[in-house]
Amino acid sequence: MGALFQDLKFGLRMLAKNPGFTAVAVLTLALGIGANTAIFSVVNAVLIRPLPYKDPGQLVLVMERLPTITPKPIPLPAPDVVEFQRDNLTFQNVAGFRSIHMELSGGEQPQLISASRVSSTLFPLLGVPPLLGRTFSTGEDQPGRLVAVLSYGLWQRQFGGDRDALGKTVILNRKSYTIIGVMPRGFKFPLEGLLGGDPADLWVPMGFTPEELSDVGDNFDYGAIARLKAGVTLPQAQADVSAIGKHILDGYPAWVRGQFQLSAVAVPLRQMVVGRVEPLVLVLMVAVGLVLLIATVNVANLLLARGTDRQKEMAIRIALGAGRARLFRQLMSESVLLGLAGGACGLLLASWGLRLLVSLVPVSMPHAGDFSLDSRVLCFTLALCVLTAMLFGLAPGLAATRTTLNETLKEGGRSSDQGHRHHRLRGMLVVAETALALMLLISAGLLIRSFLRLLNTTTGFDTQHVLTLTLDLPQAKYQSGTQVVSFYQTLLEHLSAVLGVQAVGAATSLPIVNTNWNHLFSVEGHQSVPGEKMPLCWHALVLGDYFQALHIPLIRGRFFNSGDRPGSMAAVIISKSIADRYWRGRNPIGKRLKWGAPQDKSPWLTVVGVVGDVKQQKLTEHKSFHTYQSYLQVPQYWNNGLGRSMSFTVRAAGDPASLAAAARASVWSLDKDLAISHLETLRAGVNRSMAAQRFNLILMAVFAALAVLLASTGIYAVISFSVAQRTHEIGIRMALGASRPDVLRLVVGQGMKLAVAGVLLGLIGSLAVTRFLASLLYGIQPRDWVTFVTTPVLLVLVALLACYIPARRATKVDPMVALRQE
Amino acid sequence: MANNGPCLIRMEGVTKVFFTDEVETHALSGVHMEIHKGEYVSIAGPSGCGKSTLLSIMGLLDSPTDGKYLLNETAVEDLGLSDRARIRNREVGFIFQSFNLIGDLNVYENVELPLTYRGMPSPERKQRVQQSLERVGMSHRVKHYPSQLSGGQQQRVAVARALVGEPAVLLADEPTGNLDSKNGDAVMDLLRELHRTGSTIVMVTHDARFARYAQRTVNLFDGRIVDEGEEQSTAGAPSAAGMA
Repeated sequence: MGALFQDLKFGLRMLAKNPGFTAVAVLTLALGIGANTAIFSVVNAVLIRPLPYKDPGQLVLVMERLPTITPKPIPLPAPDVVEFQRDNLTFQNVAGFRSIHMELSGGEQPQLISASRVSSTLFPLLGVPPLLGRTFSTGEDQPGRLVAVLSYGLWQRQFGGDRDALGKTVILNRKSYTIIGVMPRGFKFPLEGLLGGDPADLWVPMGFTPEELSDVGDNFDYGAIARLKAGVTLPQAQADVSAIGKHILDGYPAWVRGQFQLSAVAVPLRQMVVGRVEPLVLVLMVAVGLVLLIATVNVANLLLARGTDRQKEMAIRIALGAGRARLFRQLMSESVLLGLAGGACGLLLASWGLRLLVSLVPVSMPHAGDFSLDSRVLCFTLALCVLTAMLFGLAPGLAATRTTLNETLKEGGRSSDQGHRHHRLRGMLVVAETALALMLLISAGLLIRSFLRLLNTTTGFDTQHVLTLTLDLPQAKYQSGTQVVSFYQTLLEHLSAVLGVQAVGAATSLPIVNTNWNHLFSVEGHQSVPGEKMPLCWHALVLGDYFQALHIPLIRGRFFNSGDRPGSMAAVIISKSIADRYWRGRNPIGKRLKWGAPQDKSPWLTVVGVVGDVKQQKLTEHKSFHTYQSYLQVPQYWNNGLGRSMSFTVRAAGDPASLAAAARASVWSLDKDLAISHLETLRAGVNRSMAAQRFNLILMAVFAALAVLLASTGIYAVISFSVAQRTHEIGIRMALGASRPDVLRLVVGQGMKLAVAGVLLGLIGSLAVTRFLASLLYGIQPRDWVTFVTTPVLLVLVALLACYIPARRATKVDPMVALRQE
Repeated sequence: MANNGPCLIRMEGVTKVFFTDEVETHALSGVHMEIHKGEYVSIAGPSGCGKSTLLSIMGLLDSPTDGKYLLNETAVEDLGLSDRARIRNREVGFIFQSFNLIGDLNVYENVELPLTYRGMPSPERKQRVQQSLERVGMSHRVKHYPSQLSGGQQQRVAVARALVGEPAVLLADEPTGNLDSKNGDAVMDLLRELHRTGSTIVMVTHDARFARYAQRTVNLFDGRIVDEGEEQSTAGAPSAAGMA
């Protein structure tokens, strides 16, 4: 113990004695360890920390699969939730839930908040008791029960944490709801991104309405969460839900059974929450691990260089009887001290980096707000410090203990043979770090090019100069469909009258921003080939100059007009992709299609126009079918959930953001209590859909920049040290007639050999690893040749600069001085 | 032989060959040698004759290519690295031409180092270090670093470090080579004094003036012992007036 203390004391003294070396090594490690700590805090929050419920491993989501429509499992129609609740044999309980938005009024300004309709069984199933009051009783699982449980956050915001809030009321969608409970701090349901929902600010009873319960095979919008019975395994639960799924499908009409191929699955909740972000987080962890590896190699290189200067000290210690293990331990103690110092500074950097991460992270990332340097992260950092120290201390430690005693102890004190060995080892390390840096640079290059493709992708509509806002008219005030349509038409007129507005339209959903409605459809006269599935299209009801406001081009026929009214011919506008698929080379105007199968009772819709293809859900998707109907022609939707909510698009002559105040005033001039959501430019809404890609890109670019910086510093350090060691040799060469360009070539050549070797190795490594990025790329291949050519060239240029600086110094060697200093 | 004490060092046919690429360099060729406890032997010869190589093998810094080497009646030519380190720590004290003090340790810590490696408890170390420094007249400079000392003082600290572990033999490789004549004489006086008090000393020197301090001189040439003879007397050797 005393000897260890002595080693540490000496180690500290050595670090203090070489402040330049210590500062560079600590900073290098701090960058690597800090970046790893920050990313690990994301891994910890997202992948490691258990979900905030009791025994979360027992929780599953019951979902359905419609492979003809989407390969991913989807939520359920309301009647199916009831079937799973009633007929299952393997669950303690099944709770239904649905994320909604509710207007919260009665305060200074109405606001739209995230809410969740939930079964009364949800809270007991999750195993989280309320902080105050109670959760829902079975009797409240009925439509029209006006009670609410508040989240801790909303309780703090609206009631300042007042315990007397229990029993008070909140105005939701213009109805008074009694507060019966408050959930504890940190409780979230649903978790971010679960079935596309946000964590709710409050919960209200599910209370399925008769209309919802009659939606057999339609509106797959309801989540079902279940807890396994004790001793039940996932496969057993899977078999159970499969049997129920089959029973559900048997109840569907024959034509639907053929089209749907419905099956049911039980998916672990954790997989649903984190499964989609796991690859991204792991890619980042690997990337940041590479940065640390480069930092480690750099510090190892610095230690090797310093080891050359300490050869004599090591030789003396060995001569005095120090065993190699003892010496190794001493050097490792110094390395661990360096590692810990780097880790301490890294923690500082990580705490800053975390703030940046939180601001960049996509909102759909689970636990996005929970990134923190908790005890697990601190343990990880400590372990990382020690492991890193072992890694960077290993080679220099072993090299130092292999000192050639005879030569080293003589006058001059440095073994030339050992110098060469060290030099070779340093060269190999530089090759390795250059290779790692190139792998990161190529990965970042691929993501940058992918993101540029995404930015330049054709959406099919013009995102510039458009302001959007979304409204959801509460049924308590707008009880009839006529009131709803009247409000929206009046608002359309008001907005059109605002100075600077060129066109105003509205739709039940906006592409990319909040697309939410799709239909299976049949084309009149189309003869399906065996095995051909019924096509699916995204659908929206539009009002006013929607197409003009978004600059969606009319390719054939006409837009909707005042003649498209209830009772007139049911008109539909289709996307070019539908026209190309079903009426290629023919005029689709006047042709007909309908929702569902041809024998379905829904009316035929006549195509009156063809418009350009518009990306619907995400920028990365390929063309998808989509259709539009005039809002004014479908009164059956005015008074339901789909038609009550409309998103307005306001095309401005100038900056659309400048119209926000006027748009808000227009809405509130009609209804001062109406909450407005997504009052933003369309560009901002579309940009939000790229948040995940932007997050990847920024982090990978930062890591790649760090890697290049560290690698070039490594090359610089090695060449610089080599020049210092070869001063005498350079002096001899110059004395023998070498010109300055000769010396420049000699030194730069030495460095570039290492850089080129590293680049070649890095290219091979990149070819092997970039395939793992495939799922994060858009529009380019993982082996995109442009990236594979440009990034190595960039790295070689940086390496050239790193070599040139010490090489210039070498050319300034005075042969007279150099020859005197053997 | 000048000394009839028990044999401390016995070498039989010790050969050392260095291999560099395809070139063999015979540094020592069949060296036979005995050194007894309490002897003061100098090894002399021209540059490159193998003096330092012989001393390195004696001090277990290097191992012979062939031949036998018994130190204190223990065969040491084939020992592993850790055993050699242990024996070196306990049986051998080194004094180098270039002092070889560790610049980042102060005088006290430099002298203490062999005892630390021996695992000796701190109070005993402290006592031994103080005694050793007093013996060489450096106990007043314990907190100084080597760079704050003159060459003569550094070499005296190096002698203290060699002595502190009470080794069986002191090996001195050109101990005056980096000193002016005055300091050189003082170091030689110090070695002579150590010899008088019972230390066994083997010294490499190419300076005939200092070789006379020893009882016996072994002359090497091209890796072989070519001449071995006892010095007439050490009384006439120059005496140090003091060291800077």
